[in-house]
This record gives sequence, structure tokens and C-alpha cells, in this order.
Amino acid sequence: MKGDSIMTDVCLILEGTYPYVVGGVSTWVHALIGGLPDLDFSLIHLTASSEQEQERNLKFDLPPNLRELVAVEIDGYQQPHQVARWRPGPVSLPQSRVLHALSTGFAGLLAGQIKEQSEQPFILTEHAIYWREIAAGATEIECGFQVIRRAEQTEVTALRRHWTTTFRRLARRAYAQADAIATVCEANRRLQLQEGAAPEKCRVIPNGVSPERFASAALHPPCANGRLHVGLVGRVTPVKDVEVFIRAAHLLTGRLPGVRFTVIGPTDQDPAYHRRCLRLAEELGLNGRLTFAGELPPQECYADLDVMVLTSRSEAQPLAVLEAMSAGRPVVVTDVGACRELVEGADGDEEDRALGMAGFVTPPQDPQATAEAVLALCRDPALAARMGRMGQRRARRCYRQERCLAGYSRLYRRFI
Amino acid sequence: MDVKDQLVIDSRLDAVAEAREWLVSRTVQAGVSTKTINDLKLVLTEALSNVVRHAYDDEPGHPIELSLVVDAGALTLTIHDYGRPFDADSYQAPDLSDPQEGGYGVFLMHNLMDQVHYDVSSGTGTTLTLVKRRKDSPQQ
Repeated sequence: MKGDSIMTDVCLILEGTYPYVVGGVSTWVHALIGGLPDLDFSLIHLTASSEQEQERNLKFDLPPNLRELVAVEIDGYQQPHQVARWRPGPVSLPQSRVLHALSTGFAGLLAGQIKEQSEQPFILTEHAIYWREIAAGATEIECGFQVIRRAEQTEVTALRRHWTTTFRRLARRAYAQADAIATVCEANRRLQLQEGAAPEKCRVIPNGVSPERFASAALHPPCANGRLHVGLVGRVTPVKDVEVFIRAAHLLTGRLPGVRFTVIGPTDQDPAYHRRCLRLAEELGLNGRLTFAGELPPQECYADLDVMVLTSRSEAQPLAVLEAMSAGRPVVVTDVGACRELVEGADGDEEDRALGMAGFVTPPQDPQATAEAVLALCRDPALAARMGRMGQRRARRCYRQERCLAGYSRLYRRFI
Repeated sequence: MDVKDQLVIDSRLDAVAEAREWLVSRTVQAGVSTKTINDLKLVLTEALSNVVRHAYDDEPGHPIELSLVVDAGALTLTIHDYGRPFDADSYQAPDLSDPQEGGYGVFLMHNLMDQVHYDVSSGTGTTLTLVKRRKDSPQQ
């Protein structure tokens, strides 16, 4: 296959996200391509339906070094046992020196198939661990492929188990086929090793942000002006468990007079879930106190917030938490993915842990715990300011964008 | 078709894309085969990344001069910079039995090109000359 057309250096294979959907992985991909301008990229966008694709608009200005964008449909594979047999339809795939799949699942499956034919090197990056997201309650995977349909709710437990097993097998297959495996945190790397990934292939390349972008927000200490504002920054989707945030807000209204709550993030990715959240807020009497602001540029999200909350059921290493920390905002996050590591410091990195806590970690699906943590910060501005400063130091020390880009630049060059 | 052309870019990684585009358009125009163009593109990327990173220490605002000559017999690409001279004597090929992440740029050039020559004798930087013989059939 090589030599038939002008090749790009790297072909990214990803499901449903960039450049049509806003979110952490999309932001990461955009920063990766734009941050490595000396390499050129092509992109295979896997999507559950072509109709959906046509309706989608670009959510990002494409960097000039993204040379080719090809959409590939995943369709007609509705049963778990059919998935491993999926193959792309008659579409001309980009030629590249390196394949880089951004998840296991369909993306890893396709990368493995291309590698089998062409012997191109295959790099795998996992942000969230795919099969764990399904086990944790996701009904849909990134590309829009629904593993649990509404009509199937009655047999949901068995079906979920079946899909989890299927995607877990695909993950093991991708680990075996990949030449290098990267993930964002140590907890994920351990999971990959448990699933049979060879240690010599695995590495952690943490996400990164540019702290300078949030420096002006950090000039204002949190919880200092008496008009408290608590925000969740994330997509309004079930995996973010926005309902927990709404219930926590309800618990806080009597105890923090005048407090405002805002959900900052796109509301169009799961309109039914957004409606459910609006209904819940109304039922709990939060009209006027809690608003959905929609999507805002990252630099505008944090300056006006006193506490940033994330109530997700599953996460990888959320950029929104890193951004809030860079902006000197204390965070209240659920104990999923790398969230604890971000707030308390990485295990085994004593210097990082010595920086102290950047906020509080609470159990998932626990509005009471979320509310108590927010209350502790709002009632103690000195504590909020201290935790905000700790987060800012940690983000600057451990999670810089340049470090992430240098990690991928080295990894690509090893295989190019 | 013979082609002769020159380009000057700034010492920034995002200018590498401009150079790559220039190289592809000129070599396509000259009827060079796709396989050779793909190899040249990779070699150019590595050579320019080395200049930006090592000769100019990632400092923008310095010129990198490129020239390309394609005739029936060969393709010659030269890259001149005014930064810290490249010490070709100290270069060691990477140990492929123990993969490392880095140090492959010069190795790639030697593997994909027929001639690779560094000249620092002018005293004003480094000229890298890369030659690829045209044994491939022209693309029409």
C-alpha cells in the first residue's frame, strides 16, 4: 500500500470526537496536531451513522498540517458477537507512516486491521478505558454507537455484561497488536497491564495545559467576594452525572444564601438527558439559581467561578480539572480515573504530593458528599485560596502542554 | 521535467510545513515518483527539525535556505543554516536492537538518500546536501 499516494506522517484513528464534537479528547487532539507543526496528520473519523455525520459541523478550525479527514461508518453491527468482524466499507483510507488509535474498541480494531495488511506501526493511546466506561454505565460509545438502546432497557444488565466482555476482548487484542501503548495516568497503565499489555510497550504521558492561558483568572482569589458561584464544567451527558451536581446544588441552597450554580458545557450531545436535567432542576426549585450556560471558551470558564465541580461516573484525566487548577480554582471531583491523582498528587511522586491538596475528592453518585465538600470551601475562603494555589502549582509543575507534546513527538519519531 | 527552485523559511517548526508543501509541489511537477517524494518529505522534515531545534535552539527569526534541483539523473536538495554548526564526526548511528526515542533523523537521511553531506567549511553555518538518484520511473 505504501508508495501509492503522498503519505502523512501520522494517521489518527478516533471515534466520534474531533473535529465534530467538543470535549476533552477533541481538545487534546486539536492541541496535539497544532502543537506538532513539523509533522503532518491525516485522520479517520469513525462514526455510527452517515446521516449524523452530514448534520455535524466542524467545531474546530482545522490546523494546516491536518491534511486529510476521512469518515468511516460503523453500521450494521448491532450485536456484540458481530463487532470483532467489523470492517470498514469501500472507502479509501489515508496512507501514513504511523497509525495512532485514540481508543481500543472500533478505533483499535481498525488500526490492528490496517497493521495486519500493511505492517504500519500502531500506537495506541487510551484516555478513558473503553470497556470500563461501558461497565460503569455508559449507554453509548464515543462514535455514537449505542450499546444499550431504549427498547432493551429490560435486559440491560445482561446486555451490559455482554458488551463489556466484547470490548474488553477488543482491548486485549489491541494491546497485543500495538507497538506502543500510552495513557494519561498511572491508574490506567495498571489496568492495561492487568489486561495483558506488555510492560515494555506501556508508558504514561499525562495531559497538559498552558497555564499562561489561565493566569489572569488566577489573579482573583476564590470565595473572596461574598457572591458565591459554583460551576460544573463538562458536557451535559450521563457520564458526567450532572444530576448529582443538581442534587448537590439543592442541598446547598439553604446553607449558602445567594450562591449561584452554573453548568458550563455543550447541551446538544444528549438532548434527552439535558431535558431530564432541566426537569430535575425545576422539580427541586432551582430555577433562577442554577443555569446551563452552554459551551464557553476555556479561558472564560473559570475567572467567575469560586469552586469547580466534576461529578463524573467515569473520567480519564479531565482537562477541565487541569484548567480549573491552572486558574487557581479549588476543585471538588469524584474519585474516578486520574482525578484523585490530580487533586492529591501522584503516588510515588513525593514532591508532587508535598504540594498538598488542590480540593476534595468525593465518591461518585453521592450528592451529599459533593455538597459537603463545596460547603467546606465556600465557608473557608482561606482554605479555598490555599487549595487553589496548590492546584496552580501542581498544574505548572506536572501537567504542562509542552511536556505532553514532547512525549508524543518522541514516540512518533521512534516509529516514523 | 527539470526543476530548479529556492525557498527561505524562518526557524520555526510550523514553517517546516511550508517547506514540505513546497517540496511536494515541485517534485510532483518534475514527475518524481510518489515513493521518492514520500521519502524526501520525511528526510526534509527531520533535517529541518534538527536545524530548528539544535542549530538555532528553537529560537525563531533565523533564516533557513533551501534549494532544489531536479533533472533527469538526480534530485539534489540543499539546506543551509547560520546556526551552531553540525558536528558530523560526533554522530553515532542509533542501536536498532535497543529502540530509543530520538536520534533517528540523520540515520533516516543516510538510509533513504544516496548521498548525505554536511559542509561547515564556509564558517557561516552548515550546508546539508542530500542527493537521490532518479532510478524510479517518472510519474505522469
